Amino acid sequence: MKKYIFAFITILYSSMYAQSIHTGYHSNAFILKSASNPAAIPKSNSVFGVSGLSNISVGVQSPLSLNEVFQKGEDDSLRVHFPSIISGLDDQDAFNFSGRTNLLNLGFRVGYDKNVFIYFGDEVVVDVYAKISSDVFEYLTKGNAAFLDRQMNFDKERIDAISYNSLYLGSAFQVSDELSLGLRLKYLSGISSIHTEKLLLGFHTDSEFYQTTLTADLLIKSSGLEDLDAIEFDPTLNNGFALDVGAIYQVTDELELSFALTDVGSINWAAENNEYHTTDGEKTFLFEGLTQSSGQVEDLEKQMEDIADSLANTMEVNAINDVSYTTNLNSNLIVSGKYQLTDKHGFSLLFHSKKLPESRINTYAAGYQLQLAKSFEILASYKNFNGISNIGGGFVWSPGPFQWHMLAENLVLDVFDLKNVALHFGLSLNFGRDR
Amino acid sequence: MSKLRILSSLFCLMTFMSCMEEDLNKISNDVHLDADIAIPLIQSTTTLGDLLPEDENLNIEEDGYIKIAYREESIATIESDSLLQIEDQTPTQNNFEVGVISLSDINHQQRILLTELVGNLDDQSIVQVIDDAFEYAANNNNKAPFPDIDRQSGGSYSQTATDQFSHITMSEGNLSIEVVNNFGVSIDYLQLQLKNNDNSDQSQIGEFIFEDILPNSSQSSSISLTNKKMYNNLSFDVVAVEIKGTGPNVFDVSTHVEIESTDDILINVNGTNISVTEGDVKFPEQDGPSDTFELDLEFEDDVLIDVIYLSGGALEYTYQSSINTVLELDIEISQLKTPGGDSFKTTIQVLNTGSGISSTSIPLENYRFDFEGQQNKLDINYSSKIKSSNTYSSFNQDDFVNLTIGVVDLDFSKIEGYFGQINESIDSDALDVDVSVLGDIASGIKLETPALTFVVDNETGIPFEIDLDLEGFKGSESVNLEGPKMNIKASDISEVTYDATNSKLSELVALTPSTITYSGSVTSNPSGNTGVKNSISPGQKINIGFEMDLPLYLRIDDAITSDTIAVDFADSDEKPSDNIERVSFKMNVQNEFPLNVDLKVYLADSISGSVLDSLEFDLLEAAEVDEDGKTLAPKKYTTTFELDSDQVDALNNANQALLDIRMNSYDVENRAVKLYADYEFVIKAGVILQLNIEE
Repeated sequence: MKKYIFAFITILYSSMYAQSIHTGYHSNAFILKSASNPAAIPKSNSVFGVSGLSNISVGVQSPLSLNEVFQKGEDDSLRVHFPSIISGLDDQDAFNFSGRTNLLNLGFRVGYDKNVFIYFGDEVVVDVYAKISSDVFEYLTKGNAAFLDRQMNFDKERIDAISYNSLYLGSAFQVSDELSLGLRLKYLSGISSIHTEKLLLGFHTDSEFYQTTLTADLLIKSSGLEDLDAIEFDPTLNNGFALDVGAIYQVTDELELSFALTDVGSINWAAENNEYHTTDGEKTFLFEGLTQSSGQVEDLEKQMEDIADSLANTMEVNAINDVSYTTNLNSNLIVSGKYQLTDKHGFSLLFHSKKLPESRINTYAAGYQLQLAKSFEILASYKNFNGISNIGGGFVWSPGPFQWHMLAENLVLDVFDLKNVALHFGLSLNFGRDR
Repeated sequence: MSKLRILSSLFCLMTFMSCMEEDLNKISNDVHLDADIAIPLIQSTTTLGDLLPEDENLNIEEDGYIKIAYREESIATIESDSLLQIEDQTPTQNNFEVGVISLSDINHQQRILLTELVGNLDDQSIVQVIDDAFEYAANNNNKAPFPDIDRQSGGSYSQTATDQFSHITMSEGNLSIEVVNNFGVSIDYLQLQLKNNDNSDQSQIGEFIFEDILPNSSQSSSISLTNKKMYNNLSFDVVAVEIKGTGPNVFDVSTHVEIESTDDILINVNGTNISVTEGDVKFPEQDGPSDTFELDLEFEDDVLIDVIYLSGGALEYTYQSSINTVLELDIEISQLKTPGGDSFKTTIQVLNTGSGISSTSIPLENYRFDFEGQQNKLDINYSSKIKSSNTYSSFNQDDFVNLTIGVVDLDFSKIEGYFGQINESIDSDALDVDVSVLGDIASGIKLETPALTFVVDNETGIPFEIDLDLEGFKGSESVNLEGPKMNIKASDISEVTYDATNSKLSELVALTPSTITYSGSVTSNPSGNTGVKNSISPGQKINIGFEMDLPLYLRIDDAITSDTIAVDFADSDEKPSDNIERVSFKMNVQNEFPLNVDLKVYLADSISGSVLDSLEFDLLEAAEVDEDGKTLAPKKYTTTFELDSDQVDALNNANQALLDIRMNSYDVENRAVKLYADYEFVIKAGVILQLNIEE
């Protein structure tokens, strides 16, 4: 039992989720900005993202810190403390992981005034969302005897994950000195997906003699996660399209407002690659213990086997192939404003709303940009989402044609208090006149 | 300098490793978990009928009422043959002698001519005189003076007197002789002697003296033949004859009388009323002996048989006869009726058997003995007739016929009468009843309405009384039934029931005896001869069966049953976990059983002999019953009990559980309860395991 519990905690922490990057939204790192807002136009004439290194973003988020998981024992050791886990988990808490790696990015200014920036590239995106409620923990750790005559439904738990390749073509158009608009079209090739369409587990233990009703309604769709030997997986069949739009408006010399809507699209996961994991509707299994009748000879051992078989059959998650499905990308809406107080100091506010599988998560961030040198910018941010505060920081170094950015969030905190962390790294080449 | 600080801050910012209050190395993989797991254990439906032990004697009625019924069609069968047997009777022997026989009268005439007589006289001088007289008379109209014959013997004259015998000895008879004088003168004196004229016997039979037999007249004389032996060849000796003639003067005419040579004396011999005691005779046909004797059939003293209808057997008679002629023997047994209803009669031609015997058997199938008030006796009337014979045969009045009559191999189709008061003991035996099944259900059961019924199918027409001694044993304990005697009607099926009111059947059953023995006695016609006839026929039997009905209408008063079951969690994979802090059982019970059952469990270590811990709980609470003892409604209740960690440990360490089950029926003091097979107790049991996982 111990190993299972500990393994669960370990998995919980290893399957972290990344939050969107906010610190670098108003940075000098074009690739970083462009990823968030397609209306961003580089100062250089052309941008070449170093293959595989141009932009790597990794973000993870956990609903619990280690301090909420462990408690110091009498021997000064740290032990898993289930009550604090239960109390630490809110309904909105989820485990997130997000990762993006730009494999290629190449863009040019075109046009008479060079006011159009056209670019294309390719990136791999991984987006994982998992959620487990405190009710589950409470139920599992206190035992069902603590919930007699109560219907315990666990339907908030889910896992949604997607990985895909995005081949994109974008353009940013400097409409005027104040306004730039951007559009990015993405051709998506799904690599893998798991999508929780429905996940309901219900338990009801009657106080009469503790007969327990199990309810399950499960429909999880997946693609690319199956045994690749078992199905002929062809990622090219998982196609989709998405677009990003953005606008940046320079209200004054100091004030800039921007808007971005990204990852609006979906992927159709081809039937050939897919598998549905379903209970085929809501299934109920009533466990009333063994039955014994004096009128017949009962093989209790066999009966136990039969109950186990019956439970397995009733709750069996069937795998259904040859059914396609579509998943929407987790779209992002960013509205931001930046005030450039001086040449060196800038401040920004940002609202980021990200669609999650069952809700949207809204982040409010305040940023600070320090142009420490012409080629070196330091960034800092504070943000809050769901009551969780984070600080982030990093730099953009642009020596000559090179531009290197590295940003991190929450790395300075006590790891025992840490709930999320993010890291962004990128290297690109910028050629042409610096505008 | 400010740039340096900024860079330092940046460094810190970029540093992944930050300051930590705790050391990650202190994270322990030990887990502590307190969880209460509620588990439904079992839904158990126990029907009383299913708890009953396998026993062919357990019966469930349509309404589910449980009875234990023992039935044995026949524990004893008494065949009619054993009740009344007609043994081969000792033959009755009757010996009768033929006795004297009677002969016909003997009539014989002996003629003695004058010439013969004169010729045989002693004085032969007379012969000339007589001849002269004849001569003279021949010339004188057959008249002449008859010469004097002085008294002198006149010779002997023999003849065969009869062919009826060669000789006889008589016990009775008369012999008369008539002498007819055909002489012309009187015979003054005539003395005759009648003698046997056999070579070996010339004995005198009798002597006759006649005087003055006038001419042409006769005189008779008789003698008794008693004890006389007589041959058929007889002789008459003229011992003396004297005739005083008319004188010698022929010229005296007055002296002339008729005289011729043919003149004679006729002697008529007449034997009458002759009874022969022995001899050599030609048997004349005549009646022989007749008599009546009894054949007494042997039964018990007070058995009085009226009628025996025979289906087999024979009347056997043998005889031995020394009679040298045929004896026709008529036998009549008036009590022996032929199939036609007539008295039995038969005629036997009895021949001389010498030293041997002659036997004859008469089948008696379909005959009957109708004793007609006779006391088991047959009157055998016989009469005989001596048949005549044409040849001489020896005879003696002591010649006999030894007649033996008996009945053998009698089989009857029916006997009527009064068969008496016969007392027979019933050999001790065991009743094939094993009421230990009651003990298998529960100990201490005391039944309210047990019934032991003996069914006696008495096909015979004999009433009986059975005094049964029935006793149950269990170990050293025993209970006697002490029931009343059984009166068994004739030609009827009698049922005699023992129950709690007239016997100690309840106590006997409560003992749950392992053995039930019976013995006793049987008395026929217990009321004596009431005038009602007994009857019996072959193939009839008295069959004694029994039915023991033990309805489970009972009381159980603090019955305790103990049992020991092995508990071996020590080496078992099912050993209760050490992580279990407490076990709380909960049982929802619906009980139709009208029984209270308390259970004590002692967890023990048989090796050390110590009781490690104990558990105690009410397993069942009795359902309420109505006045008839039937459950009104199921008793519904919830009961809980807990095993603390010590008891769980004891369960782990014990190797045996001593069960102490105490059982009481509902309101045992005031009412009894009935058990129905469809009674159920439904237990829905669950358990909460209070876990304290520390790993």
